[in-house]
Amino acid sequence: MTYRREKDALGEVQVPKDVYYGSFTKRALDNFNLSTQRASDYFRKAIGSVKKSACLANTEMGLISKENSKAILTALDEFIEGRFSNEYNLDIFQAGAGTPFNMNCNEIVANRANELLGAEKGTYKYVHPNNHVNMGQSSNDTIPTAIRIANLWYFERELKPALMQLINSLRSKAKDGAGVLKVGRTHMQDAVPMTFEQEFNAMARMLEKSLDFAAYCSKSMHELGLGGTAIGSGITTPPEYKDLVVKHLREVTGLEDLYISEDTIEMTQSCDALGIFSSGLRAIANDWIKICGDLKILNMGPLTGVSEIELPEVEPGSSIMPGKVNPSVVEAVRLLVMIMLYSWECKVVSFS
Amino acid sequence: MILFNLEFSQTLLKNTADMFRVDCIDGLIIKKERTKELLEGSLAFATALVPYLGYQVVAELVNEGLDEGKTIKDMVLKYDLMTASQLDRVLDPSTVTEPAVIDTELRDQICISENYINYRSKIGK
Repeated sequence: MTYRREKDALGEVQVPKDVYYGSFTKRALDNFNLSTQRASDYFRKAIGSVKKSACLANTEMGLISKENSKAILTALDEFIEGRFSNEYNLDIFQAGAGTPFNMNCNEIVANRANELLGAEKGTYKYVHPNNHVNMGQSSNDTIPTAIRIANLWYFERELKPALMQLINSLRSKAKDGAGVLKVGRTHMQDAVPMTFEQEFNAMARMLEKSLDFAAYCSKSMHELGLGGTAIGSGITTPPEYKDLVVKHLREVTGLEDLYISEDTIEMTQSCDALGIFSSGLRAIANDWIKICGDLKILNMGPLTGVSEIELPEVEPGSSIMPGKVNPSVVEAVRLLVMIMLYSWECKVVSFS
Repeated sequence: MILFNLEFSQTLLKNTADMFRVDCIDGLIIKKERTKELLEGSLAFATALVPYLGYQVVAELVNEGLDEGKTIKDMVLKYDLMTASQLDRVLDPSTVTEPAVIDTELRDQICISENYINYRSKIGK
């Protein structure tokens, strides 16, 4: 492999000759190899969208030349589309508030913009990662903003539709159970009659309520600290920057409800909104523990248990007992949400 | 870290929701015959008779029924406290799974009937 040499504040770094990323990313690739986890495509698109909005705002204020702006915006669109996704591939477990994620993007975009303007990669002749692509920004405002955008997109486009489909399936199953009387139980003891329609509608309603709650919690992520730069004071940005950047951000992301906080100093230090959103997700997960437990009991059998329902068979239940089929899906669902609740929930604790 | 947790949680929930819907809920079968069999063999209908026969009488009928392996309907008919058609009306699905108007005329009729009075003195209540 051939290399090019780049110089940064800490010294010289050998970077593979043809890559679009630069010295900062190379250091990060060498420093942070803690897990195999990578950020999603949504995150990549989000950070690209933040920088696109910043570039549009800076161009409007006359701070970036039209030529440079055109090249940067073209590079950003390519970045967002995924042209450089194999070079935007850092370990998600990194320190420094995501500075590697921020610089990785800055470098790729700068090198591609320079290429479009006729300069070699690594020279940063016309477009510089910090001066131009990162103008008016800090990792401390771009990364938290990108995290919120990525999660809002995922919630609206992926999670919410999947949950609504599940709710619809339960409602449809409830219609199948209309007028079908069964024993209702309390404490797993025979109690009074009910219908299957009531049973499945109740499950659907639980999920509707927790989905509404999660949607409400997601609104806390509309508040942004963009424009606050390093500590939230807005140093290096003109007074009109915040209004311009959020106007472009709403258009670029399609998220009309985004707004810049009145207190960007508070926003820069606070992860509360993400913890709040996490509680919304927890509400959904909690419901599934109950629903899956009930389905498992109702399915108990086939000959010596309650056996009021029959769950679909997805796999043989035993390597030794012929014909046995287990409720694998409800067990998997319950296990997954318990792991999610106990391992991956965002409990936000503030350290200095 | 927060990014990883939130993305992972959302991805897990989304994929789990799809699996739950496609591989479990959509193909779930309601076993109508089995459910009916369980319900009729149970004492779940007993509570619906409380407005007509009173808590103590129903409790006694339930206990006797458990000892003898009989349903609550069987016990009511054994002691002739209500007719079969009165029972069917009172234990109709819409009556036992939702709020329902109490037939006070039927209730009063039962209370003054000889069989009912005899049963109450038999159980000492």
